[in-house]
Amino acid sequence: MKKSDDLQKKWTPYLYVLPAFFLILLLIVYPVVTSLSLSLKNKVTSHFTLDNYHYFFTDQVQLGNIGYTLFVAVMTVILALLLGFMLALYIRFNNNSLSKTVVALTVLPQFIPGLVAVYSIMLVVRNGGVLSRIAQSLGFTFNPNLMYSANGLIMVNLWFNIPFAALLLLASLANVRQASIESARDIGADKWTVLFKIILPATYKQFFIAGAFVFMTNVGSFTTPFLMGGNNPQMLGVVLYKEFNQYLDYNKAAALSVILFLLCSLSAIVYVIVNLRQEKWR
Amino acid sequence: MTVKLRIAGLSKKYENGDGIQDINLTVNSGEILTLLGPSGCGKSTLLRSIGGFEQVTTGKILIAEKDVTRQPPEKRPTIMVFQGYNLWERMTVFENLEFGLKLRKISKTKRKQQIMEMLTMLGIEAMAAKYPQQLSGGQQQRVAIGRALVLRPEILLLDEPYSALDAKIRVQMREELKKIQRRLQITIIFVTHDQEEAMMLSTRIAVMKKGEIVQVGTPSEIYNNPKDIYVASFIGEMNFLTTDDGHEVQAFRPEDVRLVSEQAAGENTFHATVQQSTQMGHYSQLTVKLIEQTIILFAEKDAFESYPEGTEIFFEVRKMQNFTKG
Repeated sequence: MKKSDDLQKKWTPYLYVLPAFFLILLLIVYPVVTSLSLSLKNKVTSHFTLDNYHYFFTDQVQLGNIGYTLFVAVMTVILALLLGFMLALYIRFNNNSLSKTVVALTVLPQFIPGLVAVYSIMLVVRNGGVLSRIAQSLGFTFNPNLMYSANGLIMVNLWFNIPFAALLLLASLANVRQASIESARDIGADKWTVLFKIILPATYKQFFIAGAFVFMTNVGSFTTPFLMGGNNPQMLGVVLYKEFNQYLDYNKAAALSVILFLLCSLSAIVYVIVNLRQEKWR
Repeated sequence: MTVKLRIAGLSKKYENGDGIQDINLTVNSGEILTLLGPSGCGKSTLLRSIGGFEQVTTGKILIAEKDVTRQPPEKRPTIMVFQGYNLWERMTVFENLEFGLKLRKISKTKRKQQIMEMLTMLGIEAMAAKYPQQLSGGQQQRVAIGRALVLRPEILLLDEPYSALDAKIRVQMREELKKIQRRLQITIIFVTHDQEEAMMLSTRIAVMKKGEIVQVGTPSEIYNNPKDIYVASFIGEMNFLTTDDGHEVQAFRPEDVRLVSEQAAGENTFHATVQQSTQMGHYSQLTVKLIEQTIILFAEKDAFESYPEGTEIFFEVRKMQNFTKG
């Protein structure tokens, strides 16, 4: 009797973990391993080769695509953090009807399907779209030129990511005690000193964490660049789609997947390092 | 005696109707003035208004005869020690004290000298390189006081600074504060809900009730001549007897009585039955029943033996005050 109880106790935790474990094995580990092996094989002979990687790092067009992708992702990170932080600061230190409305609006993008949002934005900003028509009715010609350009992509990325960054930064701002700020003001600190000496030291970690998330989602994004991006340069998500669906070059597609995975790992590493960093004052 | 702080016709109303009104108060240089009252009486609001953390609705605040009513906290010559210390946890003790001096553009050597002097005075010079979280509550409290004093404020504001400390350390900190105050001759405004703390620390006490100051006076004035029932019941022990007509109450302190024999009974002598009799240390406390009311009497150390439970006693009240009810 007692023995079976013990046995049950011992195995119960494994039973809980098992379904998730198999799902991870099946849907994450297996594809990663096959992608990796596929990326190291010649398309025709299936012999080991590094050509698939060599192609992406030497071909001028592909190098352009990698650079373009990094540019769009990094700009999105910088602008989303900057504007998101300003938004979070406003929400944190103002308690009026406007700040409450802003909070509600901040959550809104999380509830709108990405595809719907991108199409809606395209309707407004494309040349000949809503903005152009309004301009025309006022008697002048105006074309935003945001379609098929990095600016347009970054703008839509910001639409998704500013609220996200603001929410993450707001969470860390909530940990800055009002009293800490008041005592700094009391001893003579102006607003800028409070920002740099009290608020930023308490929130800088969250900047790296929010930045890592924004980078990861944008470096591999597909919907927005597929719908709004140009033909050259292209974001890597679209390149991957084309290698897979149009050129049917599974080996190159696999190599590109691994490259994208490594790019994301960069920000994952930042995330882990920041989280594990020991601080003297703790 | 010079006036350090002058408050005239001050009020601060919050949206929910709470706040303070009709505050008139002067604080003299070198005085410890305590704002005393229960929670929600507006004492912290008044202190925060003096420090510049609340925009007042009406009235004026003058510090050293200069109008500071519309000035932000950083422009006022006041420094506040907040409830719960409020040290900056990412700065060492030394850096906590240094921050304000740096903002005042004091040279590095002077800063160091002033900080070490202050830490030595407070007995925490060995903690200079530590972070606040590594200190005990009492040490953190000292750092908070040091951080304020090193900036030599005209007025030091303390908002229930000892509420987080245990009783023994609290008593010790009060004595230290008094010592420091005497040494530096600084003006202090102290907020507390603890009447014992107020009695012990204050040059004068301002008793507050529902956003107003009810009475201002020295501890002995407040204790011996409370202005109304509220002040009388808030400070020390006080017995209240309802008179026959019901409009007035007679009030007396438990120590203002003398136990007498039945023969000696005269005016202001009452007849009561002992309900409980306890030795409280250097005195005895008798809980007695007088007709329908229970009151407390203090008697000499051994009285609890002579008047056990159930004894009939006579006592004469030597000092009595009448208050109108309500």
